[in-house]
Amino acid sequence: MGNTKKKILVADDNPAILDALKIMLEEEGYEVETTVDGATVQDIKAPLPDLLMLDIWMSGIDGRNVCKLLKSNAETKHIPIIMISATKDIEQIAKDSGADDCVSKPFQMEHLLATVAKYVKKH
Amino acid sequence: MKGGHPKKTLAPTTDGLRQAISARTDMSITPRQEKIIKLKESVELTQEYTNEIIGELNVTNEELTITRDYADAIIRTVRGPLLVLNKDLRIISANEAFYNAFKVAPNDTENRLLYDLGNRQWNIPKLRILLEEILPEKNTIEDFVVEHDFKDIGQKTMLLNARTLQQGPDKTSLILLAIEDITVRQQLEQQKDEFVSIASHELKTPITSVKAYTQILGRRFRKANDMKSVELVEKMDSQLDKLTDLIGDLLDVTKIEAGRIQFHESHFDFNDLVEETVEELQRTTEKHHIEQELQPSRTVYGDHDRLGQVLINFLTNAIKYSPHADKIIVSTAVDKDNVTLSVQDFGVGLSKEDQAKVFERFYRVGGSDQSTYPGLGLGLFIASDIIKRHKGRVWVESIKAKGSTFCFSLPMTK
Repeated sequence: MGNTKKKILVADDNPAILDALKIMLEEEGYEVETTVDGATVQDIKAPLPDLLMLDIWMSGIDGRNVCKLLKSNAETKHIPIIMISATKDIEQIAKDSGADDCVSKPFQMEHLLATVAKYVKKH
Repeated sequence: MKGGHPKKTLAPTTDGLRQAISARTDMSITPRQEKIIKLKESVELTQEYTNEIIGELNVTNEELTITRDYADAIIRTVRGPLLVLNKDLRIISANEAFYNAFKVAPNDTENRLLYDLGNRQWNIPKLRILLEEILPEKNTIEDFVVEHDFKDIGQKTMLLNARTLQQGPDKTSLILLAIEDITVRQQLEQQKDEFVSIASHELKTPITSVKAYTQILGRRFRKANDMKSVELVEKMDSQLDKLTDLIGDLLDVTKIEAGRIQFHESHFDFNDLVEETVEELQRTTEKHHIEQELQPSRTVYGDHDRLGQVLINFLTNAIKYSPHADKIIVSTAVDKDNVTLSVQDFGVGLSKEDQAKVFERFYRVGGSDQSTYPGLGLGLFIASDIIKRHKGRVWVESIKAKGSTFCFSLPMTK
């Protein structure tokens, strides 16, 4: 049954945020993979995640560029991307980068889970 | 006049002359003698008048010297570079500060055309427009920013103030040009903005994880039906929200100052915003009941979240500054041009002085009874900027010890 879980990949350069998001999403019934290295997200290979959560400002890499790249690639453009950031202008940034949605930091858990659920069914 | 010396006169007075003639001749004065006496009289008068004028001239001369010394002293004392130009923009004089700041000597400066100075480094198009077109028309230039890359001293940002003055009987025009180098000040401002921006982002990162852990705990306690713990965790969560808001305020102020605050405008129902916000704030206070007196709603055009921020600010202030009251009234008024929102509290109120300053940056109401109220003094400053940027108006009506009503009105758009 575990194999039918939807897979979410979260990229953020802060390990504590990744840890908290992993617990939060796993308790909600998702399979969660995390990375502190935003650059690796650019060339994700199959099996592709069902959803990608992407921080905007990561050490050494700009989440906006990663998002644009994935959305311009035929193999990855179907993956829903939710941008996460502490910046107040996140809505505009998400729109400009071609992301599907955004959630601002710090998260309100209910809002975050509802946004994720909009794009993936749990099972 | 005992011991006094009679006043020395070069010529005998005409009265004395008249007496002397009468005494010597023992006869009445002939017409010729009378003519001489009259002539003598007028010479004396002229002499007196001339002396008076010379005296006055001396005083005027002295005054002129004083005035010139005074002006010179001012020019020399002023720390900022100052130029005096004639109407053809030729330099009449410059102060030490000018020579020091722009690394030039008086010999290469005085009597030269401004644009010819130092390899024509002052031949700046924006400055030419200022001095040749704007100044002759307006006679003053205030706080005009000019950026220029100078050959010897590098890229500079200068604040220019200029004034023309008419001098002498032929009304020759002089131009006073004050040049303030604000390059360093501007760099510091920018560094401060960047610092606050980075600091607030960095501060939000740990808050994000702490808040996430807090909410995970809350959910676990809820599942275990441990409602006492749920309550504690929710309190933690709301304190974290306060911390986030404070950081947000700091960032907003920096953005306002730099003119970088961005609005995402849309059409929305005004009463919906009011009701949502009141509901949210009602949850934060058990003591106060927030009453709503709303007129039929209108659709307004603006930044929903930013206007919500203003309302939250008014309501949190109302709660904060009326600790002994149990009621807050939120009302709206609508006419064909504006929609007005008021938040009335029955708390400590504001003095006239405080009312005038309460929307200023960093302003906090002082006085012994209010010194215990916390806050950065930024909320109303931000609120007022948000409303102004929506072309609206913000104000307060208040009576000390009775309470305050904070209001804003927004223009209706088609």
